Amino acid sequence: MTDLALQHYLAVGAILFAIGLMGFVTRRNLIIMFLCTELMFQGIAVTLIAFGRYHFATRPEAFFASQAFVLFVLVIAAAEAALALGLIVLLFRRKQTLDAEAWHELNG
Amino acid sequence: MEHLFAIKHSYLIPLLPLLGAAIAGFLCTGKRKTLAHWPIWISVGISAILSITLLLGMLAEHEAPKAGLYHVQNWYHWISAGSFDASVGFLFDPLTAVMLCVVTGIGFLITVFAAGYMKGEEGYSRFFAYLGLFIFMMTMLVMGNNFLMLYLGWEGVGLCSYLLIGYYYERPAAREAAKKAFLVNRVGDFGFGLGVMLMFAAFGTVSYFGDGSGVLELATSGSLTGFQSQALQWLPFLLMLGAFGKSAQFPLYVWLPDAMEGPTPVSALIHAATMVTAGVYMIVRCGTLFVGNDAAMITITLIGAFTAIFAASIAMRQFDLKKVFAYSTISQLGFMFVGVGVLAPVAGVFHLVTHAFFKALLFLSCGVVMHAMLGELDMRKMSGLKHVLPKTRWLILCGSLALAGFPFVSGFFSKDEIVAAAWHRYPVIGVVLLITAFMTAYYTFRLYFRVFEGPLVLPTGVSAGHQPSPQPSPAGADSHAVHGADSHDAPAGHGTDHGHTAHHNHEPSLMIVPLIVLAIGALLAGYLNYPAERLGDFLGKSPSLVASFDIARQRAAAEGVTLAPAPFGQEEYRQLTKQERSAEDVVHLRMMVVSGLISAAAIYLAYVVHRQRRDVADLLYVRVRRIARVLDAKYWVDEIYQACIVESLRKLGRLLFVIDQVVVDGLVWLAGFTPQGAGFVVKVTSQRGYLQGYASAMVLGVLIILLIVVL
Amino acid sequence: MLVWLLVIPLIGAVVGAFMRGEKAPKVWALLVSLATAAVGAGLLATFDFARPGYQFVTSSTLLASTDIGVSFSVGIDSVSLWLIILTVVLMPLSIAASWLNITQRRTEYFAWMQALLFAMLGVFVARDLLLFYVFFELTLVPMFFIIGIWGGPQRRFAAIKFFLFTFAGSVLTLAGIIYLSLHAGSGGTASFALDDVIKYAQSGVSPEVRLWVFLAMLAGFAVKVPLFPLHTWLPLAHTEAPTAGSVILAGVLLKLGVYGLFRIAIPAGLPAVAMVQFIGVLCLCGIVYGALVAWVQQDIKKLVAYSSVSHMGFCVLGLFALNVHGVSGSIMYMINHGISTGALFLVVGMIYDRYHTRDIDQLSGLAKRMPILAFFFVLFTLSSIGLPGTNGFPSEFLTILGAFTSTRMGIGFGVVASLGIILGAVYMLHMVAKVIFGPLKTPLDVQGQADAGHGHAAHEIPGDISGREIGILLPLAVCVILLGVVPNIILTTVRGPVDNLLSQTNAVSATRIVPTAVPPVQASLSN
Repeated sequence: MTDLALQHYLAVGAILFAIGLMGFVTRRNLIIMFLCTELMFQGIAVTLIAFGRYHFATRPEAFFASQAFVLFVLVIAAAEAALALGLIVLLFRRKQTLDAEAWHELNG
Repeated sequence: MEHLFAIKHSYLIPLLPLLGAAIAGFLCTGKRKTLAHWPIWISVGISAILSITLLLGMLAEHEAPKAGLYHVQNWYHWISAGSFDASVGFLFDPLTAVMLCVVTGIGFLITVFAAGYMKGEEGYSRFFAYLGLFIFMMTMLVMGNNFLMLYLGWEGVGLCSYLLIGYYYERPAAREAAKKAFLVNRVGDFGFGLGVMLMFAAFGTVSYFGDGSGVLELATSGSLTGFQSQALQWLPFLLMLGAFGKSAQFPLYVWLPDAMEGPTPVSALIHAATMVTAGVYMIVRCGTLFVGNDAAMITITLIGAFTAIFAASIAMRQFDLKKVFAYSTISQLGFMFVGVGVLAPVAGVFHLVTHAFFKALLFLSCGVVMHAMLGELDMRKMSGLKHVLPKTRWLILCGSLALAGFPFVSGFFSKDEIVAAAWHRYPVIGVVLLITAFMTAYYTFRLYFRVFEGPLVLPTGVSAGHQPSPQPSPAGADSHAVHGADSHDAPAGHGTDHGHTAHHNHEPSLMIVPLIVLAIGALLAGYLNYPAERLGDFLGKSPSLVASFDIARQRAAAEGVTLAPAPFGQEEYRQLTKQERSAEDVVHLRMMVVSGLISAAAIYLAYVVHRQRRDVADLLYVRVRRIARVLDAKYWVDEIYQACIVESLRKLGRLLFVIDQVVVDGLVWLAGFTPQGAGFVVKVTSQRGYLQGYASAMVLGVLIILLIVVL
Repeated sequence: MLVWLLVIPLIGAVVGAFMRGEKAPKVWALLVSLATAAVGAGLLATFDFARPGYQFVTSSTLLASTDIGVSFSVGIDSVSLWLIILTVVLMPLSIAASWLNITQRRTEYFAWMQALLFAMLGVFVARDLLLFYVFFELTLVPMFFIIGIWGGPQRRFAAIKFFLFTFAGSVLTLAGIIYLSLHAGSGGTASFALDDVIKYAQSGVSPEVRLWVFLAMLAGFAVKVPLFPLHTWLPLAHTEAPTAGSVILAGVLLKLGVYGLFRIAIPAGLPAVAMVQFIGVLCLCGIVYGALVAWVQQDIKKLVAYSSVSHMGFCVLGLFALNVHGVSGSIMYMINHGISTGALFLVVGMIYDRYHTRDIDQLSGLAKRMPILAFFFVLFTLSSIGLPGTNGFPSEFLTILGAFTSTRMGIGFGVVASLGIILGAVYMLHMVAKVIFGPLKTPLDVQGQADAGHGHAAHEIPGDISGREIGILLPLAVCVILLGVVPNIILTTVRGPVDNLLSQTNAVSATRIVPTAVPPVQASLSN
């Protein structure tokens, strides 16, 4: 069994991102779509932290910076989840459905 | 000459009538309205006196220099821009003096007449204000020393003509006639204006005379540049267009018959005696630009002769008294144009002067008839008026004799000079003029015998007044009316204007006295220039005629012909050419005999068919019904103009308006619509509001970018 | 002195905007406009016509920025002076004309009028291009509101169309100005000073660049003039605007375009022969087209509006003739058109106030009922058709003469323009014949159709114009006659600026232009 290399982390990140993307494009339920965006976020976060670990292991300040970025992303995702879920609840109350297509007239 | 009071204070001649007009128009309102004739009488009277002193003062000048007897007076610079400079300035020469006397003298008589004729009119003060303005403009026209002043007067008299024709503005016919007069004249002015511009482009000035730098002087100098001689080919034609418009020559004559919608004194003053002769004045004044150009002179002659016979033929079938004289005026103006066209400017001006007298007389007499007949002018509805209007009958007889060219009356001499000159130059034109003279005498006396002789017939509603009237016997007199195929508009409205005169004296002395003066002029004005050519000699001192003769003589000499000086009034040449002159005289005398006979024959014909046996006229009408119908329709010229020019232009206007709203505005909106449209297209195609669609597009975009980066 | 010219209406507008009551705002506006007129009269009295160049020059460092070369600098020459006089004469008359027929939101209306006065005067005094542009655009704002709030039924649309048209054009003008100004100063620094920019444009850029700059400036000014085919905003704006708005629009705002061409576009752009001819053809199209379209209008205000299209064609034609006759004629045309068309709009407004219609078929024979109004109407019509003796003649004659003798245009242009003389009389007399002459249509007819349902209207028989209205028209009538009799008041005084312009255009063109179709004698006479 070989050591885990950068590629493996990247592959996991990419797979997470791809799953999220596919879900976002194909599913029409607003909550599922929102979850898919979260998946994409996590894929990116994994990628980011892997890059930080492999490239900046010898430079602590950059290493910590990369981890700080990831934490930042997580915090934003959390804040966003609070906001977005609240919005979705409001939207659901309006139309009694979670179908994204119900709101296509917002195109302006 | 400068010491003459009339020249030192020449500004008084035009400005007094203007002042009079202002007083009449602005101050004589309300109760003072009935006084409105006073400022005009006084101011025009003083102008007339000044003009006559000017004429007499000039006559007293014996030592005429070779270049002519003239005086230039500039008051101030009117329009200056760069090298262009037009001053308000006057030119005094014999031609101006004669024209001034005609304008102010006859103008004064007509204002006197008008006070009687227009009495009680609602627009009394307005009428006199217009008359004063007209005299102002007309004096400016004949006194000006440059083409811009001429243009000022030219358009100014056009304006007054417009206002006066439209005097009864409530009548749609008067309104349309006024507009027509102005617009047809504008067509002529279009040519005139271009002529002035071309003149300036070629000669750098628009003055007539002024120490050798005026246009009329430069045109005579031998040294012309290529462009200048080229311009001289075109100038006469452009100016001619203006002259044809103002003097109602074919094809621009159509406004003058309609102009009879104006009050009769106006028809007499503007549309017979003064304004319409402005074209003749202009061509005589700028003779130097014309006589060197054979094509132009032939055109003037042909148009003049054609107009003369054309209008005379229409006049023969008119039933409206004023319309007869309107067409007659057009015809007589044609004579004048032939006069200047065949190198006899003196004859042209001579006829202008005599015509001013007798045509003013005839129109004003018509006015008396109209006044008495409550506005009725249809000669089929009246007859034997000599019983009602005895004085007018004699007055109109004087005028008719003069117009018909009856021997030893003014029109005889002046017309004869023109016919002789035309015969001398182009015999064909002479024959045409003789035929026209026959027609003229016929239609004049047709009118006279119909209206004043025969049994008394009055239009309905007219009393015979206090005159002893014989028993009316209308049998047969009205038979002509059966064939009432003619299409003229009866001036219905005038009746209301004169309703109050029904039981008054039909011939108030205020109207008759000026007519007597005019009648004396109509009978005797011919002796101004015959047998001694006094008028000719005097006019010949005008620098315009001196220079014209110079050019004409050189041109004739180049063709190997000797030009007679008499038609130009050039005395100093007379001694040299006594032989030719006597030969001329013989031609002239023969012509006099011939035309006298023609006139007498035509009068006799008119006597037979319109006095003795009026039924013959009806028979004659049936015989030549087709020709008569053409004449009744006045050759359909008005209709052709209406259809071909007015309507088509108006249609073009409508079309352009549609284009304006649809195409031009449309194009501009298209420019504004483009961004909006682009936005709409994007919205419809990709911005449809499906979240997944946006996401897929984004992914696709990222992929494409990636591909580009990687590859 | 020039600063007062701007400060008085500016303060007037600000103070006026807070005035309450029925009478106070309009009295205040009239006083302010009269005070401005007094300053204008003072300028006229103290202006030295013999001295070349700009006078009353003032520069304020307070509002200046050396970084971008902008300064508040004002000054006038005789052309600006006459246009200022025109503006300050028309403004009190317009305010007086709005005395009774503005019944809603008076305070705002009169404040906007004063703001408009401020902006218009600013354009004529500015000697800095950015300042010029700011004032040029500033005129749009008050006019936008005046049309949009107090206008006719389609006022909103008309106001927006007016604004967008002129604004779209002038943005390009701004681009042209900025392009030139960036390097116009000494040593390649930025300068918006008028003289610097023109000098730079004439010597510092290539002819190709100059052509583009000229086109950019033309875009803004031609819309404002308006030059055919960019005129379609004008009839609508005129028809919908209130009377005073139409007067100012025709009287002054259209002149801003010609003034811009005269002051900036021509000296900076030095148009070549082909360009001059192109514009000349557009002018001729406008002259003939405007006249024919005016002839078929039903609405007399629209008729007068289309006549403006025709008239401004003459004005620009004369300007682009680029010889003394044409340019002086064109400048005089600006003044005259302001007087006569402004006056015609006033008269039409007075008719509308009485009959509530402008339909040419519903009005007839007004001379019977209103002889004084008819007198003024006919007088201004005559001025408009260029009858000699009125002010219209010298300017019309000189512009056509200019085109006729121009080395860049030629005889053909003069001939076609002369057709405009005939057509001008056609549509104007058509209107006079219909409206003033003819049988009187009783007010019952007209009122009955206009106010169907208002029984009381039938009782009012509209009378002749009042003393106030005579007072409005009389000064303009005096100008019509005065400038007709002594047009040299203007023609000789504008000679300096005209020669200045021509020396610039001819210096450049002489080296490049070879007159081909024009005979030599004409070339020597054209200046």
